[in-house]
Amino acid sequence: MSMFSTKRFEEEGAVSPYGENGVGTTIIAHGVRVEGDFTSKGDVQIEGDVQGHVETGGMLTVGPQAKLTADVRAESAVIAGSLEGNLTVASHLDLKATAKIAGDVTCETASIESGASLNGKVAIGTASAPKSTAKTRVDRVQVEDEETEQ
Amino acid sequence: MNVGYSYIYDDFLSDRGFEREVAALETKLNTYDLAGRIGRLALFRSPKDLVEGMVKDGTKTLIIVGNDSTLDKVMWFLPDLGITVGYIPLVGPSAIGELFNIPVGVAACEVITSRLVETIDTGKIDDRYFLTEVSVSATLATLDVEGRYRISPTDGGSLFIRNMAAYVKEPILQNEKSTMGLEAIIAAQSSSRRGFPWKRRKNDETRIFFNRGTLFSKDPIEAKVDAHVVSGFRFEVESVKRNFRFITGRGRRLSGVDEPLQTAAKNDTFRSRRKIGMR
Repeated sequence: MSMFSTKRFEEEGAVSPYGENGVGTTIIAHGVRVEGDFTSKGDVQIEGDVQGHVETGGMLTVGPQAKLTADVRAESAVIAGSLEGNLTVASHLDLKATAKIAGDVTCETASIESGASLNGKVAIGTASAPKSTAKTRVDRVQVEDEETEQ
Repeated sequence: MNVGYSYIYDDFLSDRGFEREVAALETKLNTYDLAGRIGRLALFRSPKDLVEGMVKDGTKTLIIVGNDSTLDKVMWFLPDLGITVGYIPLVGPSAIGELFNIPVGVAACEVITSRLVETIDTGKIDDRYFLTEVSVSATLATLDVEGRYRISPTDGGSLFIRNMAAYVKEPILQNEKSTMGLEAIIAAQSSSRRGFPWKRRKNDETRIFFNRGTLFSKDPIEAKVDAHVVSGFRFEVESVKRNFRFITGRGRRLSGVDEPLQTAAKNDTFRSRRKIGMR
């Protein structure tokens, strides 16, 4: 029996860091600060502080303790933290109850939990798509300044 | 004698206590027709000069004999020599042996004779190559990734830049390779809640992938590179792709994440089986 055991690096509850295409999930944990132009091809999870610009070709997850002062672009996003800046999501945006966004939001589809805070312009659905195809489920939401595209 | 093979023995193998193991090893190598020139590391002898002399004399395959510290003494310059490297951990325990499925002792000769060669990535910190990782503990150092962004722990923490695996005694934490060369892990320390000083500090781990970066700090950084310690204020770190040919044990596939064995030939790895009649 070997004295050593070889095991994959894992932590309870952690998402597997390696995506299907071999590009790892980037994790910015609480207690870490990022400044600059942050881009990734894979999924990104943020629980720390980010200033600058964030862009990912995968899914962006912003945790409840995260503070972003940045313009953000992602394929899809789940936001539960604080974002000061414009948010552009190519497909689906999921705003959790603890989300606080101060900036313009553009996405294809969105779901917004009760309690989420949104302060800026909101554009849901593509300009060429009929208004009726936009999929939105909106509960009671604090929206201070909202404008939707025709 | 096989002129293409040379062996580097660590200094401690000259002790009487290792006579039996060394004799058994050399007998086995002779049996497999793999006996070659032997060089010995010594206190005031440059390992780099010793190995470069062997390569100049025609060595194509260099076998390191000793323990993990022996490999560490030469690993930092080996990828530049363009040779195939093997490892016989004559004395255990061996974390590197565990990582590459190389048994401890004379049984490692089976790995050498099987000659399953993997071309693997290495990390480089300034002019020093590393196989496993660079670790910096209790630091406020900043990592500048490819000049695009900077990442640092807010209240300090430990930083690990991994190529192959974590260099720890047990268990070995091994990273599967992603398409990006190096993985930086920051274990940040965040303060416990005010008013609850008995609560333990919480460690959160950040994980990013990159190919090239700069590690710097206002305070001196003491970094452990594989098993060697370097110190300074600024280090250039990068991943060097597929520059190190290493003889690994069976069952280890390091060239890709889910690469089937049938494609081994396409990825610059090969396997040959030597049929030697045993005397």
